[in-house]
Amino acid sequence: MRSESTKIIYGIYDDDDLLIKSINILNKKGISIHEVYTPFPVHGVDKAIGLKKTRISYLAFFYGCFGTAFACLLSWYTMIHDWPQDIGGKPNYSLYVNLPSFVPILFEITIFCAAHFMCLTYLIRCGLFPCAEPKNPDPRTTDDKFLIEIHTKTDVNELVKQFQENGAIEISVKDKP
Amino acid sequence: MYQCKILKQIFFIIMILGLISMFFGFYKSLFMDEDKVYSVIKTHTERFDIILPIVEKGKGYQVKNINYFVQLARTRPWSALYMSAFYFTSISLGALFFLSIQHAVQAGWPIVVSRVMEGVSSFLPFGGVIILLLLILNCIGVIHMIPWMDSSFSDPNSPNYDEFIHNKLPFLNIYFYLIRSILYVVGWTFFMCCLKFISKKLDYTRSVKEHKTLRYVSVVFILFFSISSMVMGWDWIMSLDPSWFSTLFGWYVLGSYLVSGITVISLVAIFLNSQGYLPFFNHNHLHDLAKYIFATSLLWTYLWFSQFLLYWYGNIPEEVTYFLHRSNQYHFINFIMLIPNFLFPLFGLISSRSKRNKKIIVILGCILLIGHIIDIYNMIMPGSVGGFYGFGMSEIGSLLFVGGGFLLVLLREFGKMNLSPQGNFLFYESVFYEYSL
Repeated sequence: MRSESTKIIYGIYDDDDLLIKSINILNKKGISIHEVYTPFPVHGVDKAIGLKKTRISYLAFFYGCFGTAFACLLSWYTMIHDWPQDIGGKPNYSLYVNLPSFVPILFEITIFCAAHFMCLTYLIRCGLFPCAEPKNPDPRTTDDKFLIEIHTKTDVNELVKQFQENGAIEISVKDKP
Repeated sequence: MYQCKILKQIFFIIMILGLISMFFGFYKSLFMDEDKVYSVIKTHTERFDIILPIVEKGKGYQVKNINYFVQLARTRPWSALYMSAFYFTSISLGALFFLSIQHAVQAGWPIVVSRVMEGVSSFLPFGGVIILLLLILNCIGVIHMIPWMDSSFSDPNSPNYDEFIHNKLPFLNIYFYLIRSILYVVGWTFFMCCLKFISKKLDYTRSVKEHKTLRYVSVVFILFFSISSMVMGWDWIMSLDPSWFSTLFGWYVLGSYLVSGITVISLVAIFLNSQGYLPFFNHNHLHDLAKYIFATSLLWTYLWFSQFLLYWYGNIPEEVTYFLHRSNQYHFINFIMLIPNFLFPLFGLISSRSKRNKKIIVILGCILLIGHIIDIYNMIMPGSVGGFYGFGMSEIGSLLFVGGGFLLVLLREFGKMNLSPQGNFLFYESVFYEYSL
């Protein structure tokens, strides 16, 4: 019963090159890495741990389309439907005829929606909204240390030895709650 | 070094075909007499709606200043040649500007394709000479493509007197104009040769001194280009509509030829890569080039729209004629060209996966090049030939002729140069350049 419980192993490194080397060695041995925490984006880590391409660009396109539609509605309602405006003798009562003068606002609101909603999506997806529990196992990874997290059910000792060989400066093991 | 005899022959045949087709155009234009001009005006009245004094007489139409219209009709093959010469020269100019930006900011990624840029920019002197010849013919009065060169417009006693053209005389007079035009072509050619020479020298000296000179020359070229490209836009294109003016016109023209220049660079790089030359060129470099195609297309659209919006909103008669001309008499050509030049690159190149796909870049590149032919056509034709436009023998012929020459020059350049600039310090950075998605 006890041997089947999942253990979490943290290996802490103080060098990013060493981190990538170690990840590659673990990959070769077929050990699946649960997560890697780094204080700054390290080139090559995303490929080494096999992260999929981010889907935020599709969302950005969707948010942009939403922004354009919203701006169309807004300019139609405020400038044409609710209170028709006549500026500089330009024809009103029609969105189609007046469109060139609305293009700047369509453009601005498209960018506004895409940028802000993307930012919000990113923050929520990463768990960075106010009052969120930090997922980070060790506060030093926000400063100058790099951490590899592995979830395993067996051979804890072998993994610890592996970490030591790869140059981890600190290794800790704990039970998964 | 890339050599291909079959391509050389094909390009040569294209040039000959273009020449033959152009001759047909010139032959036709020589026989444009009053009767034919009348028949054009009669059959295409919608092309001549503004202020045209057509009086119906017993046997047909009578136009007051018929000689002016005969002149316009005879200008068409010359304008077509000017259009294609400007199109291909400006592609070279755009490529040269792009290259000099890369050297000036010490960019690492494009060094693999920098020789392609040098090759594309080497058409500058040839196209420049064609343009200068046409301008000189205009100045001595053989062609009547540029309206303000007719001295009767600035003569207060003449019935044609135009106050606006007269006021522009200090800037728009024939001598100053020609001096400026020669200065641009000579200046650009000088900097182009300079950049090519230093870059070639760097291949075997590999010294820091040459590397620094390359950057220095690029910076000086950008300074020269920043002024000459703007004034060139006013001189060579905007002065075809002498009473109309736009302050951002130089940028608008610049946007157009930056797009086509970078597109031609990418297409040539893809072609050379597919032939086994340029082995280090891969999808990472293509991705960056495609990003620039996307960005400059949107820059062009932005400038097009900024120009249009202000005149549309202002609605001042002497300013909107430029747009009304193109909308009413040229079948909304200035709006239609937004489809290939804006919508296609916007939706085709927005995702980074399609930026790395050679097939998509080739297809979109061809669409963009055609779109910018339409753009140059829209800039040049309405001012120079008015209602006697069309897209026939003379336009296709001159595009084939100058385009064939352009490709021949490129082929000759690629036959002479070492396609990988191994002496450049940033070459290896460029070879291992990687963009992670």
